[in-house]
Amino acid sequence: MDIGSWGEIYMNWFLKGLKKGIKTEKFPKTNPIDIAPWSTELNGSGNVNCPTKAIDNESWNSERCIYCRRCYPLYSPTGNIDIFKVNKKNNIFRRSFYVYPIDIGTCGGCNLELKLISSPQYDMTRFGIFFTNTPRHADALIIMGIMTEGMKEPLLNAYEAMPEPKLIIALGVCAISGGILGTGSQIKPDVIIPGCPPNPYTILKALIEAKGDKE
Amino acid sequence: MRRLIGQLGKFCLYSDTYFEGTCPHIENEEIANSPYGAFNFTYGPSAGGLFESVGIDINTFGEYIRNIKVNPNYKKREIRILDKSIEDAILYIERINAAFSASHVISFLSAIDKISESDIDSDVLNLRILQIEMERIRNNLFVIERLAESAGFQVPLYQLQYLIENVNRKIGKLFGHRYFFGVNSVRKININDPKVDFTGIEREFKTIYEDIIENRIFIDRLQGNGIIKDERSIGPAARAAGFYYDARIEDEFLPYKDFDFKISTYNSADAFGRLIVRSEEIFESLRIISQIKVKSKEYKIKVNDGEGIGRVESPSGDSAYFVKVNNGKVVNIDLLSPSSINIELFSKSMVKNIFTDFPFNWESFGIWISEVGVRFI
Amino acid sequence: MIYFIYLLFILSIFLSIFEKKIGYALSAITSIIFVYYGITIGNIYGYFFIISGLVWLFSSIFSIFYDTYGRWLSPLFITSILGMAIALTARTYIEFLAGWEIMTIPAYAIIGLNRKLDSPAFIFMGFGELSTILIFAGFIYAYTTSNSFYFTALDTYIPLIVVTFGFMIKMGIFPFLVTEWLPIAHGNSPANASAILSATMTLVAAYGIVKMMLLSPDIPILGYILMGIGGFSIFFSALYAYISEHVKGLLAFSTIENNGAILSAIGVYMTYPTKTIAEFALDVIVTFAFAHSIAKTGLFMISGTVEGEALSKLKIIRNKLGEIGGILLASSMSGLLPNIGGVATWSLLESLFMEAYILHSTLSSISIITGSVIAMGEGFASAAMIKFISYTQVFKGITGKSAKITIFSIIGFVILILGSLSYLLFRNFIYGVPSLGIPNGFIIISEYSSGKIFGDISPFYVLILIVVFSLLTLGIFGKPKVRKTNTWNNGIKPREEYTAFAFANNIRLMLSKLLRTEIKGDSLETSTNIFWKVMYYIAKKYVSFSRRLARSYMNSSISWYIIYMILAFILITILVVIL
Repeated sequence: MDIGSWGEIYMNWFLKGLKKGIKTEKFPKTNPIDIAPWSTELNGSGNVNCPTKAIDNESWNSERCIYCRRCYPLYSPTGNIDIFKVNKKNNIFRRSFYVYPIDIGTCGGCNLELKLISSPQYDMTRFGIFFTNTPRHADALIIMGIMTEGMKEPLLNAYEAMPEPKLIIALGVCAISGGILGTGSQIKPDVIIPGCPPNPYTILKALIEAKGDKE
Repeated sequence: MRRLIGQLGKFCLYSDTYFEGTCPHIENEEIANSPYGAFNFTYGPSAGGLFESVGIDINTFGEYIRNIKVNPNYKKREIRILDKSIEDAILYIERINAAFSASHVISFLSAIDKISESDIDSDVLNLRILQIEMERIRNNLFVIERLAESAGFQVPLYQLQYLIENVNRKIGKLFGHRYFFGVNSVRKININDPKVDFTGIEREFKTIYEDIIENRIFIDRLQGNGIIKDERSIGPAARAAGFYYDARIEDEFLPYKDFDFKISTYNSADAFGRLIVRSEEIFESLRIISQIKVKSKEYKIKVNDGEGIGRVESPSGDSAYFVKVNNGKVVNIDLLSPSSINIELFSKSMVKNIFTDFPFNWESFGIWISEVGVRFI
Repeated sequence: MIYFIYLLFILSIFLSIFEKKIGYALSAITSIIFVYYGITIGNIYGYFFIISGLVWLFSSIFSIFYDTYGRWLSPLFITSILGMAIALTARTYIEFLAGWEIMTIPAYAIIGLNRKLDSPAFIFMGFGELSTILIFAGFIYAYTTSNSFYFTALDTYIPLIVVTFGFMIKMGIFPFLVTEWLPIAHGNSPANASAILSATMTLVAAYGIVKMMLLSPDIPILGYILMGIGGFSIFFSALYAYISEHVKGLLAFSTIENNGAILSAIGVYMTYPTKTIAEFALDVIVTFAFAHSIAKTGLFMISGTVEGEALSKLKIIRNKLGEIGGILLASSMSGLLPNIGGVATWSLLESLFMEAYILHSTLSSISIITGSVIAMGEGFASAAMIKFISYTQVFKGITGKSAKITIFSIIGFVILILGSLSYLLFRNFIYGVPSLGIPNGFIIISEYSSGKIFGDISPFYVLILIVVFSLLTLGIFGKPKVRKTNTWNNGIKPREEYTAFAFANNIRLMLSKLLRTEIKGDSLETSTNIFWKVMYYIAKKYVSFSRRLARSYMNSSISWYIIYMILAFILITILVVIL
């Protein structure tokens, strides 16, 4: 292939990219555009038989809800994505936040949703959030899935391999409370992101707050 | 033409029947242990390049792969499903593997429908086909994205991620949940908003697809990589080798024959062939979806006691469930997941390649560990 | 004085038959005297004596701790040294040949007795005698033209050509351009004998070429041939060293590589465009000889300190001193400053590029290509040395003390010091830049004619700067805070070990056509014999061709034979008439 057609191909990508335009949304400055309803806050009243006891005394506990929809129509989704809790954050990560995801027993859903926050619509890198391939370079450990026997040792090793200061993030109801399949992670989390699996909007907003960014 | 699929609990499953007993076992040629200079290279369970936790032992001379052992049991989960009602069982089945959730649930429900009395409304069956095909589109896009990521092919990588997120949002809008959780039950299919339109996806994917297969550097890494032509292969791996294997035309339960589509095959059994097959399947799935009318439906069904086998074509191959029901409760259940067969194929196909071929070949099979490492108790 | 030295060596041989250690000790003392003799001689040959003496000194001391073999090793060892001493100090052709044979035959015996394997010893002997024949022939020719048995100036270059090829065989380079005979031979003998074989037997060969070269008239074409052969052998032997798994075989290939470098330097001398370059080339030869012989001795000692021969499966005892010493030796062999190996490599490349610059004709392409090929070969040599030292002293093994380790570490430091003393070897190429704080005498320059400087280095200042900056960093930042932590290996305990074989396997796969890599069910094999294969192929073809030719004209047909007789008769008649 001669130089001419090489140039054409690269120009091709470049021009196509320009034609496509900017797809990144202005979230979190603006409201989320397209949310799957059954990943947001539930609201309602009445007694229901919740399989994970997420609805107790007419209040909804986000840390246990697996979005099975059995409480519908007494309880229904509101569209509010702010269902996460940041118990500890660190301003030192404001400009650069490297996270290391570890899968201790997922169904694959949390892995996929976490991966999608790097897609152009969300674009996590504009906030300085990056994925790293080793816990030694990580600021935060994102734990996904229920605690399984085989992953006990790798989880502890990953925790110990991380340098201080570090944050522990539990992503998904399985890691927080075990959901319907088991028990949550052994290590107590600093940031809790509920959902089954959590919406990328929720994940992104939680990470932004965890690294110390104000609105 | 009958083909052998795999071991489903105590049955050996074929494309048109099943027998009790173990499937004929193919003798694996034992490779001599540890010749001079060879050592075992550990990859996983927890590593940046792997999407899920899986332990992979590569026996190598250095660069050259002699042998691979895949250990999917690091994240082995125990699913407490026995003696649960069918509705409760669905909660568990959905969460075995979120990426193939629709395939798992629908093949489970196919097994249940085979032991029940009633005619299932064709609208319901069409909705089931809709879910499976939407899942297929999303998963095939994901496989291609992982291939582009392994090649460091940044522009198409992000374009594909954009598409995947778009498809996910459409699924979320149509069914209320991006991974079909809480959609299927024994009596109805939950629809959130039936006015969702998939027409933009084809045009966008077409441009990306045509561009990536023109890139010599990219296809160079895929061609000749992980060649496996095996009669016992399934899914896109089999179709890439030229075998016309597809549960959609073999299993009569879902009315695929009412739709106008074709099975995509190719003639090179390598990672490139698998890429082509999956890409063509996206176009075919979009064609099927455009022929389905969406509306919410409830239906009556009376579940008897008995046992049955349900099988569907998941994005990576045949996925089958054997279910035994007693008093409305699930007393025995077995799963034949496509990833368990694909792991064998992958291990065989990786020999004689070199390290840099590894990620391409692994991703091209579309293996999900979460559906292999499960035990029903 | 020299006869006194011979006597002492003979005494050590006798003593060593009864008591090894005393014999070795006496030979060490004699070597010191030999070094002193070399210093007092004052000409270029004195350097060769100094180098050999130092090598014998260190290897004798090492042998005291190393020799656990039978009673045969020590007398044969010292006899070989005696032979080398005779050859180096010979004044007549006969003395030289006597020394040459006295040097070779005990070496053959050592190799044969070491393993009870016949073939390495026979191969060694075969090639050794082939070289002797060529040298003998050259000397006879020199005698017939100069009518004297003494080494005197000659007026024909034919003896030089013949003896050069003879000596090249001993250096492992000719006739098949990097054959395996030298690594097989050196790899199958005990470490102390391998040290003197590699370090000094090949040195005697280089000495022979230099001596004849200084006594013969100019012949530039031979110089270009030697440059080419030298460059070619550097590249290939460095490559084979890199993929070698035999702890001594790797070092033996490295010997061939360094001898190739010396040969290239000799080539530069022979083709000198200006007198300054010729002087510089002589200094290069001496520096390279120093760097190679002494460092190689140290490295062979390392190979004698470890147990086993396969790099991936050695039993090692090591300590901090051994690590430092080993790294100094390996870095010198890789051509790094401030060791003398760095000075040697730099000066060789400078001389080749200077020559290319001066010549300004198509012939300069030969020196440029040689220089580039040498640089590529040095890359492989560095990798080979890194592999060697990593798998013998730096990362593996049990910590422990050993006298053997101390000895080669001392050699490592000697190499470092020699680097800073290398100014003494380049006596006419010293410079200084007082304005930069470098007084006169501390820069070595390469000049291609008087006053025209090409390049310069200062090994002493490199050493000083390394020390100063390290101390500065230590002073500013204090002692580094070290925190011991577990290895992160994908979350599980590390189980595997990266073998030396895997280290070099990427090259075995990439250059599979050149190395004839074959992957079988339970092994991966390469061949360093492609030259053999090519020569063998040519030889076979020649044999079958000549057989067919012979059959065609010696066809036992009377009529043809009568025709031959008539043709011969006519031919002779014509010749008689013409002449």
